[in-house]
Amino acid sequence: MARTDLRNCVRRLRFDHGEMTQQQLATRVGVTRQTIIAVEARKYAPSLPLAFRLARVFRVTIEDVFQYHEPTDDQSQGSERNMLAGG
Amino acid sequence: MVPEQKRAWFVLAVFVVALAGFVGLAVAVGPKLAFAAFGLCGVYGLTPLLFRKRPRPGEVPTDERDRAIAERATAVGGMASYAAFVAACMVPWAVCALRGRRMIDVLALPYVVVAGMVVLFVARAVTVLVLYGREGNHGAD
Repeated sequence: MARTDLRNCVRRLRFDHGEMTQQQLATRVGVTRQTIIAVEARKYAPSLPLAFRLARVFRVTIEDVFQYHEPTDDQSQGSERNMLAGG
Repeated sequence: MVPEQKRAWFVLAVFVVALAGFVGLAVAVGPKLAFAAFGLCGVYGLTPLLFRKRPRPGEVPTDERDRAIAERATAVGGMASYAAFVAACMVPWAVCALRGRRMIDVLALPYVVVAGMVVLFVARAVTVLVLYGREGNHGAD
Protein backbone atom coordinates (compact mmCIF):
# COMPACT_ATOMS: atom_id res chain seq x y z
CA MET A 1 0.00 0.00 0.00
CA ALA A 2 1.23 3.54 -0.75
CA ARG A 3 2.10 5.83 2.10
CA THR A 4 -0.82 7.91 3.30
CA ASP A 5 -0.84 11.72 3.57
CA LEU A 6 -1.67 11.26 7.23
CA ARG A 7 1.42 11.74 9.35
CA ASN A 8 1.53 10.66 12.94
CA CYS A 9 3.77 10.65 15.96
CA VAL A 10 2.58 7.42 17.52
CA ARG A 11 6.12 6.13 17.88
CA ARG A 12 7.30 9.23 19.74
CA LEU A 13 4.22 9.23 21.96
CA ARG A 14 4.85 5.59 22.84
CA PHE A 15 8.34 6.37 23.99
CA ASP A 16 7.12 9.46 25.87
CA HIS A 17 4.74 7.17 27.74
CA GLY A 18 7.23 4.94 29.46
CA GLU A 19 8.54 3.27 26.31
CA MET A 20 5.25 1.54 25.74
CA THR A 21 5.66 -1.41 23.35
CA GLN A 22 3.65 -1.78 20.17
CA GLN A 23 1.96 -4.85 21.65
CA GLN A 24 0.93 -2.95 24.79
CA LEU A 25 -0.52 -0.11 22.72
CA ALA A 26 -2.26 -2.59 20.40
CA THR A 27 -3.87 -4.36 23.36
CA ARG A 28 -5.05 -1.08 24.86
CA VAL A 29 -6.72 0.15 21.67
CA GLY A 30 -8.02 -3.27 20.60
CA VAL A 31 -6.08 -3.97 17.41
CA THR A 32 -3.27 -6.30 16.39
CA ARG A 33 0.39 -5.34 16.73
CA GLN A 34 0.73 -5.47 12.93
CA THR A 35 -1.81 -2.66 12.65
CA ILE A 36 0.21 -0.44 15.01
CA ILE A 37 3.30 -1.19 12.91
CA ALA A 38 1.42 -0.27 9.72
CA VAL A 39 0.07 2.96 11.27
CA GLU A 40 3.53 4.04 12.45
CA ALA A 41 4.98 3.32 9.01
CA ARG A 42 2.13 5.36 7.43
CA LYS A 43 1.09 2.31 5.44
CA TYR A 44 -2.38 2.29 6.94
CA ALA A 45 -4.70 5.20 7.77
CA PRO A 46 -6.71 4.15 10.82
CA SER A 47 -10.44 4.62 11.12
CA LEU A 48 -11.74 7.61 13.08
CA PRO A 49 -12.73 5.50 16.13
CA LEU A 50 -9.26 3.93 16.25
CA ALA A 51 -7.63 7.35 15.91
CA PHE A 52 -9.68 8.59 18.87
CA ARG A 53 -8.76 5.52 20.93
CA LEU A 54 -5.07 6.10 20.20
CA ALA A 55 -5.36 9.75 21.24
CA ARG A 56 -7.14 8.81 24.45
CA VAL A 57 -4.47 6.29 25.42
CA PHE A 58 -1.87 9.07 25.18
CA ARG A 59 -4.24 11.61 26.79
CA VAL A 60 -3.80 14.09 23.95
CA THR A 61 -6.04 15.46 21.21
CA ILE A 62 -6.38 13.66 17.92
CA GLU A 63 -4.44 16.46 16.16
CA ASP A 64 -1.51 15.84 18.48
CA VAL A 65 -1.32 12.28 17.18
CA PHE A 66 -2.26 12.71 13.53
CA GLN A 67 -1.48 15.54 11.14
CA TYR A 68 -3.02 15.70 7.70
CA HIS A 69 -0.94 17.50 5.11
CA GLU A 70 -2.81 18.69 2.07
CA PRO A 71 -0.90 17.29 -0.90
CA THR A 72 0.53 19.83 -3.35
CA ASP A 73 -0.42 19.58 -7.04
CA ASP A 74 2.66 17.48 -7.83
CA GLN A 75 2.01 15.17 -4.87
CA SER A 76 -1.68 14.81 -5.65
CA GLN A 77 -0.86 13.86 -9.25
CA GLY A 78 1.55 11.29 -7.85
CA SER A 79 -1.15 9.99 -5.51
CA GLU A 80 -3.57 9.72 -8.41
CA ARG A 81 -0.99 7.76 -10.37
CA ASN A 82 -0.51 5.50 -7.33
CA MET A 83 -4.27 4.97 -7.04
CA LEU A 84 -4.54 4.15 -10.72
CA ALA A 85 -1.66 1.72 -10.29
CA GLY A 86 -3.60 0.11 -7.45
CA GLY A 87 -1.33 1.42 -4.69
CA MET B 1 1.26 -14.80 10.29
CA VAL B 2 -2.44 -14.06 10.72
CA PRO B 3 -5.07 -16.75 9.95
CA GLU B 4 -6.05 -14.97 6.71
CA GLN B 5 -2.49 -15.33 5.40
CA LYS B 6 -2.39 -19.03 6.38
CA ARG B 7 -5.65 -19.64 4.55
CA ALA B 8 -4.26 -17.83 1.47
CA TRP B 9 -1.17 -20.06 1.46
CA PHE B 10 -3.42 -23.10 1.84
CA VAL B 11 -5.49 -22.03 -1.20
CA LEU B 12 -2.36 -21.56 -3.31
CA ALA B 13 -0.88 -24.89 -2.16
CA VAL B 14 -4.06 -26.75 -3.11
CA PHE B 15 -4.07 -24.98 -6.49
CA VAL B 16 -0.47 -26.00 -7.18
CA VAL B 17 -1.25 -29.64 -6.23
CA ALA B 18 -4.35 -29.59 -8.48
CA LEU B 19 -2.31 -28.11 -11.32
CA ALA B 20 0.35 -30.79 -10.91
CA GLY B 21 -2.41 -33.41 -10.88
CA PHE B 22 -3.85 -31.93 -14.06
CA VAL B 23 -0.49 -32.11 -15.83
CA GLY B 24 0.08 -35.69 -14.63
CA LEU B 25 -3.39 -36.83 -15.67
CA ALA B 26 -3.15 -34.99 -18.99
CA VAL B 27 -0.12 -37.08 -19.86
CA ALA B 28 -1.71 -40.29 -18.59
CA VAL B 29 -5.33 -40.11 -19.75
CA GLY B 30 -5.55 -36.99 -21.90
CA PRO B 31 -6.46 -33.37 -21.23
CA LYS B 32 -10.21 -33.80 -21.27
CA LEU B 33 -10.43 -36.08 -18.24
CA ALA B 34 -7.43 -34.44 -16.58
CA PHE B 35 -9.60 -31.45 -15.66
CA ALA B 36 -11.02 -33.72 -12.93
CA ALA B 37 -7.87 -32.89 -10.93
CA PHE B 38 -9.32 -29.44 -10.28
CA GLY B 39 -12.06 -31.19 -8.28
CA LEU B 40 -9.47 -31.05 -5.49
CA CYS B 41 -10.19 -27.34 -5.31
CA GLY B 42 -13.52 -28.30 -3.73
CA VAL B 43 -11.69 -28.21 -0.39
CA TYR B 44 -11.71 -24.43 -0.71
CA GLY B 45 -15.17 -24.65 0.79
CA LEU B 46 -13.51 -25.67 4.05
CA THR B 47 -11.13 -22.71 4.27
CA PRO B 48 -13.28 -20.65 6.68
CA LEU B 49 -12.98 -23.57 9.14
CA LEU B 50 -9.19 -23.81 8.85
CA PHE B 51 -6.54 -22.10 10.98
CA ARG B 52 -9.04 -20.72 13.43
CA LYS B 53 -7.44 -20.14 16.78
CA ARG B 54 -9.06 -19.35 20.06
CA PRO B 55 -7.76 -15.95 21.15
CA ARG B 56 -6.02 -15.74 24.51
CA PRO B 57 -7.46 -13.28 27.03
CA GLY B 58 -6.65 -9.73 25.90
CA GLU B 59 -5.49 -10.86 22.47
CA VAL B 60 -7.11 -9.36 19.40
CA PRO B 61 -7.33 -12.00 16.63
CA THR B 62 -8.40 -9.65 13.82
CA ASP B 63 -9.09 -5.95 13.54
CA GLU B 64 -10.27 -3.27 11.11
CA ARG B 65 -7.13 -3.51 8.95
CA ASP B 66 -7.55 -7.26 8.52
CA ARG B 67 -11.17 -6.71 7.53
CA ALA B 68 -10.17 -3.96 5.07
CA ILE B 69 -7.60 -6.27 3.45
CA ALA B 70 -10.12 -9.12 3.28
CA GLU B 71 -12.72 -6.85 1.65
CA ARG B 72 -10.25 -5.53 -0.90
CA ALA B 73 -9.00 -9.02 -1.70
CA THR B 74 -12.56 -10.30 -2.14
CA ALA B 75 -13.30 -7.42 -4.52
CA VAL B 76 -10.19 -8.21 -6.59
CA GLY B 77 -11.07 -11.92 -6.57
CA GLY B 78 -14.61 -11.11 -7.69
CA MET B 79 -13.39 -8.98 -10.58
CA ALA B 80 -10.87 -11.59 -11.72
CA SER B 81 -13.46 -14.33 -11.38
CA TYR B 82 -16.02 -12.39 -13.41
CA ALA B 83 -13.50 -11.69 -16.16
CA ALA B 84 -12.45 -15.36 -16.25
CA PHE B 85 -16.07 -16.54 -16.15
CA VAL B 86 -17.14 -14.32 -19.05
CA ALA B 87 -14.07 -15.34 -21.06
CA ALA B 88 -14.71 -19.03 -20.31
CA CYS B 89 -18.33 -18.60 -21.34
CA MET B 90 -17.62 -16.80 -24.61
CA VAL B 91 -14.30 -18.11 -25.95
CA PRO B 92 -15.12 -21.84 -26.39
CA TRP B 93 -18.34 -21.02 -28.21
CA ALA B 94 -16.60 -18.47 -30.41
CA VAL B 95 -13.85 -20.96 -31.28
CA CYS B 96 -16.41 -23.63 -32.11
CA ALA B 97 -18.35 -21.19 -34.28
CA LEU B 98 -15.18 -20.20 -36.15
CA ARG B 99 -14.48 -23.87 -36.81
CA GLY B 100 -17.97 -24.33 -38.14
CA ARG B 101 -19.14 -26.51 -35.25
CA ARG B 102 -22.57 -25.79 -33.87
CA MET B 103 -22.32 -27.89 -30.70
CA ILE B 104 -20.04 -27.89 -27.73
CA ASP B 105 -19.14 -30.65 -25.31
CA VAL B 106 -21.44 -30.66 -22.29
CA LEU B 107 -18.35 -31.10 -20.08
CA ALA B 108 -17.47 -27.47 -20.82
CA LEU B 109 -20.23 -26.25 -18.51
CA PRO B 110 -18.90 -27.59 -15.18
CA TYR B 111 -15.40 -26.55 -16.24
CA VAL B 112 -16.58 -22.98 -16.74
CA VAL B 113 -18.17 -22.87 -13.29
CA VAL B 114 -15.18 -24.48 -11.56
CA ALA B 115 -12.74 -22.21 -13.40
CA GLY B 116 -14.66 -19.15 -12.19
CA MET B 117 -14.55 -20.35 -8.58
CA VAL B 118 -10.88 -21.34 -8.70
CA VAL B 119 -9.93 -17.95 -10.16
CA LEU B 120 -11.94 -16.25 -7.41
CA PHE B 121 -10.16 -18.11 -4.60
CA VAL B 122 -6.67 -17.92 -6.14
CA ALA B 123 -6.90 -14.22 -7.05
CA ARG B 124 -8.21 -13.44 -3.57
CA ALA B 125 -5.39 -15.42 -1.94
CA VAL B 126 -2.70 -13.70 -4.02
CA THR B 127 -4.18 -10.28 -3.20
CA VAL B 128 -4.24 -11.08 0.53
CA LEU B 129 -0.57 -12.10 0.46
CA VAL B 130 0.44 -9.05 -1.60
CA LEU B 131 -1.40 -6.61 0.67
CA TYR B 132 0.01 -8.10 3.88
CA GLY B 133 3.44 -8.39 2.26
CA ARG B 134 3.53 -4.74 1.23
CA GLU B 135 2.88 -3.58 4.76
CA GLY B 136 5.33 -6.11 6.15
CA ASN B 137 6.75 -5.86 9.65
CA HIS B 138 9.16 -3.01 8.99
CA GLY B 139 9.36 -0.83 12.06
CA ALA B 140 8.60 -3.51 14.60
CA ASP B 141 10.22 -2.90 17.96
